[in-house]
Amino acid sequence: MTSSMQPEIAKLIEELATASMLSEWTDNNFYKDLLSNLPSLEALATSYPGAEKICKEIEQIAKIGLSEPDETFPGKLSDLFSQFLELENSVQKTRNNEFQLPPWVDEPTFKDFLSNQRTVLDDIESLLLQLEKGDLSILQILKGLFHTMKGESGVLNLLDIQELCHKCEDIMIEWKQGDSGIEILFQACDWFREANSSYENFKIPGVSHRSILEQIENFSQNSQAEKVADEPQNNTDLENTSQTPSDAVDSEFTNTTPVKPDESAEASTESNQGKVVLIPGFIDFTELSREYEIPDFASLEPDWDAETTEMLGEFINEGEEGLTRVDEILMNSESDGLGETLINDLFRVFHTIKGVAGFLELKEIEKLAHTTETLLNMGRKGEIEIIGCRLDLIFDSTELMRKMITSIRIGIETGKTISPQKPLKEHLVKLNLAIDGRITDCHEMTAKEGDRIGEILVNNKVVSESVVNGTLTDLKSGQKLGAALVEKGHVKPKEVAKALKIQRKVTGELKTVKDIKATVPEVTSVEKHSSEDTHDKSPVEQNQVDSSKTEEAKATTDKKATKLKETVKIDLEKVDNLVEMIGELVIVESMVTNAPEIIGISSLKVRNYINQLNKITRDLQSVSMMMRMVPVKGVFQKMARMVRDLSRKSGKSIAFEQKGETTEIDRNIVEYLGDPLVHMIRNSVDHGIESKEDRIASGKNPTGKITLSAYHEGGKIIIEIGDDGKGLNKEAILSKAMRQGLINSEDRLNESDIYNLIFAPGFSTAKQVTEISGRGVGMDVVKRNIESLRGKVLISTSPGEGTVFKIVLPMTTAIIDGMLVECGNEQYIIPTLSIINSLKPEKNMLSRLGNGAEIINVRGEVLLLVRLSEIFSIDGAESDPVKALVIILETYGQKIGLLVDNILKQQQVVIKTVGDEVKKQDFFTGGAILSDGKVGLILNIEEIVNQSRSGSRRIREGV
Amino acid sequence: MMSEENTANISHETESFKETAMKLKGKYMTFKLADEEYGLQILKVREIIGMLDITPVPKSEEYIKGVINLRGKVIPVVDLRMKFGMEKTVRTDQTVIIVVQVIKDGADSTMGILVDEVLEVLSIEGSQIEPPPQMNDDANTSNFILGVGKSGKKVIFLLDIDKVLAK
Repeated sequence: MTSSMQPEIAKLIEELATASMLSEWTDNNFYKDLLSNLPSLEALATSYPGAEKICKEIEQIAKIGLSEPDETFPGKLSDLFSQFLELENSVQKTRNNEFQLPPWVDEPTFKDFLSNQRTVLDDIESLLLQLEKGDLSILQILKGLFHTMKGESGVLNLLDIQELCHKCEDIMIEWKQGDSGIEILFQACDWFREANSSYENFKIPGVSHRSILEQIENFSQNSQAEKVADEPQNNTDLENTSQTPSDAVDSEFTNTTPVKPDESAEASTESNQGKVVLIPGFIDFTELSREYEIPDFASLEPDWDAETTEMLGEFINEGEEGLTRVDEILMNSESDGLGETLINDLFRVFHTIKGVAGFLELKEIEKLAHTTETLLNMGRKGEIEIIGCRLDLIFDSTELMRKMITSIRIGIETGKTISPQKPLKEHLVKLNLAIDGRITDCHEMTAKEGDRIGEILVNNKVVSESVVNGTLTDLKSGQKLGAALVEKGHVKPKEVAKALKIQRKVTGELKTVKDIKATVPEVTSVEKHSSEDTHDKSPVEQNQVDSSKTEEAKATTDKKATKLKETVKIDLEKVDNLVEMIGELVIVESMVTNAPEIIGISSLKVRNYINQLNKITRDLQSVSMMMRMVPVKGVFQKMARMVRDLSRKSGKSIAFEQKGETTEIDRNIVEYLGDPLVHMIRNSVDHGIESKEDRIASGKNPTGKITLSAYHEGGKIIIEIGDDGKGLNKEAILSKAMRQGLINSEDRLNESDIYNLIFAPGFSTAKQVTEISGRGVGMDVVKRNIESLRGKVLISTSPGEGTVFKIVLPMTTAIIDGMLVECGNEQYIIPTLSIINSLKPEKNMLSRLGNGAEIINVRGEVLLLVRLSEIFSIDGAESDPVKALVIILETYGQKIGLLVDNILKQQQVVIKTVGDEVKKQDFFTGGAILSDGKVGLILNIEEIVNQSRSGSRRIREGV
Repeated sequence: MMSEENTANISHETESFKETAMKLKGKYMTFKLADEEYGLQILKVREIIGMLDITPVPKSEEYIKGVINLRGKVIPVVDLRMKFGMEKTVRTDQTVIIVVQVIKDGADSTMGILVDEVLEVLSIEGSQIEPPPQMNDDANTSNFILGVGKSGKKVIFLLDIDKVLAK
């Protein structure tokens, strides 16, 4: 079908729709016209899913319309036509590679998923790297991650992601230490990333997942073939082999996740047949839990390692958040009913919990989430309605789930054994019964006409009579009994609501509903059970409770106890706003405290207040800075992946080591850090590390090593990229630089000058341009990026032993440590990072060259002396250097002495962007508000050094 | 032939300017530079502030008077007289900075302009606006002018402030 035909069909539908609107419903000709046009419409829409059905309906109406027209026909027809148009639209969109969200998903949910997916992919990638190193213990976690992603993408209708996840899981079930498998998984990761960014723009991924699927298929077939050779009795069918007993739980999930919705539906209807619907009241839970294969859940020992504990913390936070959402939905549903979207929301919550619980090996939670999800899934597909007792079951699931999650939290925080929730098994049985349609009523209250709320509650054994009576006597005027009972914690709001509902319902006709609770006293409802926890328990258990309570008390001093970190998701924009406002507060604070009027106040009290204000402001500032800090881990992991790929490409064997990846750094800096690191690591791999043969020849370990480390040093962040390669070749750099005209033979350069030449644009010593590097753009980018972050790069290298690049970065881009200097009437800020020292020159240190350039001799080192007043044409500056101050500045190994009048003070300033007008010339990197409220400009030392050096060179060369 | 075409062109131009004039009608804030009156579209004006300490920016264009601290934000201030090729502003009691919001390289940007005196806010009708005069001055002032507004006996140059501050 060509695209030129598309407008035609839309046009035709529109024409017909207009006709149906304009024609009289009695008009025979209209129906005739319609019938004559239908075949061509059908022909055009052959490939449209569902078009046939619409056409049939139109035909039917038109045919009836010929003989006995009805006035509703035009309306019906135009409905059908608009359906048709919508269909056409969506087909068109798919053709344009546009992705349409399924109707049950809203955009925020979708975007949320995508952004989560990106983090998950990062995790997956780092796990894959571990797996490659042979750590098979993480297979389960990996599978869990893929499984969660599969489930979620299924709900969101991202079928390609879903399918690929499924296949990835398959691979891992059959995992053996093998290269090609991991290679495919890496490729899959890359594809997921691409798909993620495509979907973010509502586009269907340009590259299909098919090719990766095929590779997986081939791979599994190969490994299958091996397997078959090993165990001939094994079935070769992929699906069957994946359902080995050890994976029973997993494959069971696969069946009920949206991957194959039909199957699970069939399964449940099948199980309906041949089984008698149970009469409530005769439930043998022991028998049934055997029938539903509900295992006995064991106690959990909270002996997780730090990483798992962290993940558990996240799980608990997210789980609780999700459950709150479930509660909210359920509360509303009591009055409004559960729509499709809401059921989907519920489904998603339980599904996510299931996935995460699965790989954290929280069996109970997993099982409960799974079973609840199955029930919800049936509701989602419209097989059953989530009302009445089913709704109650979901309520109970939520309640129980929350308890289990809380028990894990307590377990982690106290280090105490987590015992399984007793009502869980019974609840699971009930859920399963509901799924099979074997119970329809489980928790209905009864009431007689004229019963009052208290009576209903007592009769249904929700509370005891004495409690109600007690509450009634305490009742404040105007307060309702229900409210008072809830307030005192005797009953749940839900139960009062239910009692009220039943009270309203019983008018003339009275239904006697036998509920489970009434007839089988030992099987109480979940909430009841738990509320009577302490009463039901045997003395032995009571003792246990007591002892565990004392344990709990002890646990506060227990070393094993861990405090869980709680996190909140905040919009980054809000954080940035806050940081900016605090920045302003800091300025205003210093303006106030430095105002002459305030300084003049001698009252000790006021001075104290001002000091407090100052302290709080500083604290606030540092807290706000911390809020934007993120660990460098993410960037480092990307590098790990890159080294792996590069070492393959270059055929060198390289081990990658990372240190201090938890070091935190401003997230604005992290963003800019990626590029420089990529270039430097590429350089290290390509130029630094020698080939295997060379390494062996020089007696080194044939496997090269690249180390990436991050640490704090004196208020700065240091990132080091080290390799144990051949080191920088001084001679090669020199000769190359000379050939490229970067330097001439007269330039006398010291060692660091030479090494710094590699940062020059276009410089490359590589004998040949390889795929990885050598075009000479890399280090130039490194330098520029790092400088834009107000940092610097230092090189240390020794021939044959390797090279270390040290990136020195400020903690944050928002603040700079500066020295406020005075020159004439003007004040400027010099970044402390560039200052070596300052001194009052003596006459004998100064001299003037023949060309007029001034020099200063600082302890034998001869430096160019630059007057700031001269560069900036400032009037009224001190002209005699002996009365002024020289600040020794350094950037990239080049030093100069800068003559200013005075240093006023050292201070941290908040960097403000200045307009393009100021930026146009490079002498300033930004502005800052000084304590007197005036703007101070921050000097760009590199530009000043370069300008003055080239200026003096020009003079020397007589230009 | 030629002349006919030219006349046609001119009448066409005046025709099309009528449309432009209709679009230009609205409220203007007028201010004084030397003896001339200029108008700024009111929506471009953020606020008017008295003279503050201006930090000069060495090595920048002459008409950049410097930068100021506008409640924690650093914004550049342009001496509009110098931008228009006049003598530089001499500070008086009436000298003020008008903070304007302009579009630069497609992005919003806040800047200050130094003017001799702010006058009033005027409503100017489309019929009161005439096309800009063709001038051949060095500063290319006519490029910055959207039209000439007439209010009573006064002549007001309506400024295209985005263009003025574009470079």
